[in-house]
Amino acid sequence: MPRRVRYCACLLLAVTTACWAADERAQTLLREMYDATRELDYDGIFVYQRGAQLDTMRLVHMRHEGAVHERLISLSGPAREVIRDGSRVTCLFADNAAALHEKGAPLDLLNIGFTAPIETLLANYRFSIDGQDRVANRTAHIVGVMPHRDDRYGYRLWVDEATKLLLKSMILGRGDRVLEQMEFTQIALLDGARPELLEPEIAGAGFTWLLESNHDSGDDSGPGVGWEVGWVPHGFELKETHTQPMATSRMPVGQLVYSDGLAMVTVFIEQLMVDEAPLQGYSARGAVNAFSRVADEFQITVVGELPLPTVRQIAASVVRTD
Amino acid sequence: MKHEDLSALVDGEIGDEARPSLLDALSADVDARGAWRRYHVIGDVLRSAPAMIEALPAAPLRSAEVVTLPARRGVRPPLAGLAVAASVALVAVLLVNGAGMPARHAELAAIEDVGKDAVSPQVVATVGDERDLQLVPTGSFDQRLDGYLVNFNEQRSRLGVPGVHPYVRIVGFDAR
Repeated sequence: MPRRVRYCACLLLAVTTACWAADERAQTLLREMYDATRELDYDGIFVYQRGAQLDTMRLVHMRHEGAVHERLISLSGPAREVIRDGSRVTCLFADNAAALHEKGAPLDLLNIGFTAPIETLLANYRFSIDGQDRVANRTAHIVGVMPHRDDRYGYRLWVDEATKLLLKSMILGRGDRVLEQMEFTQIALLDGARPELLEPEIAGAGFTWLLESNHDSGDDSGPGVGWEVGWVPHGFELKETHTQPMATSRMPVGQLVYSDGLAMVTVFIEQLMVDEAPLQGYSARGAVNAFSRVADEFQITVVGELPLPTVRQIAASVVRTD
Repeated sequence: MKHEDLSALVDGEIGDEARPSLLDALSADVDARGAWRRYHVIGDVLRSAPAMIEALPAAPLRSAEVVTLPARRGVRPPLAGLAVAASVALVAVLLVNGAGMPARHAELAAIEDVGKDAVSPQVVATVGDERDLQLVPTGSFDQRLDGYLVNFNEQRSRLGVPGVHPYVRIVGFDAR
């Protein structure tokens, strides 16, 4: 083998090995971040930006007497609080003098878990360490989770070097444009349980109290059945299909939910009433896009954390099968 | 709350011991919360944070629309401020019951209803930010779309898909 070819082969091997090692390190960091964000006790303030909207919130997270307790407080805009006590969640809205008490609420107030093992995401995303940064006066590793194709968004996560807590996250569109982001401006680990930090400041006296029981995924008959989604991006799988009444719709709505383990898209199918104006066209909120069309007197709406062309292509592929 | 304390808090100059009490004071002080927010925006601009700058509207939002819609006939209007349809499952539950539809997934008990005589117009806000976006015309904007968006966020949470939990959206929602 000529020396030059041998040199190139060695160089290629070295680069490939380095990339693989970076991928592995990024995946390890994400696993550590997931554990730390759930297990550690902390109190922090973060800014949440979606499109042109900017909000500041405080999050207290702790494990106390075997259960996860959290308190989320708005520091800008109307005074609102959400208190999570194990599987119970209470939302307090001072501006509306209303409170919602929900049992069986599923997850953390900031959800950063993965529905699929990270290994299975490798077919559609590449993981990388994109350097270091400083967030909330702490050193953080930047982890990139970028799609192989432009039919879905990328993610960038800032993981605290010392605690492995998530300090900042971004959802990125084409050209690395930031669609949505969350960033802690201050965060401190708590030294043991501090139950007093979980006490709401909104008293709740004189409020309307509303109680909601566990969510139920509805039944599997209705408009969702009898329709088929002809195309979804590579790696997306059907996670749920059901029909349930929705407050804002007169008829029960069929829903087909797909995910690739990181992004999610839902197809809503609803029979239109004679006097109802159909929805047709695009809408967007931050990284969430929606596309609506009408087919056979049914309203088809696709909502997903995916780029508009992808959402539109999914909507166009929905056909009736019965 | 003193402005020097607030400034020190923003700059991260408050020690671990003093921080919780200052954060509590901040939570309780409306003016301080407003100042806190302004400081952060100013800080972001000074640091030339590109994402933040991009997010701040240089002119009246091209694609933002705030419209008032009459309440749907036969549907009980939700609590006054909670009429922002995108905000909460709570609104959804109220409307389901009011419409007389079977609420299979939610059992609701309103112990005291202060929203009975709430004003009927409902405020719907939409903020789009895709450069190549064509928004649904205001006239055809519909509560259904808000319902879909709320439902989507709840499903994402329930299935454990990563992202910001709907409670963050709920707490932060403002009909701007």
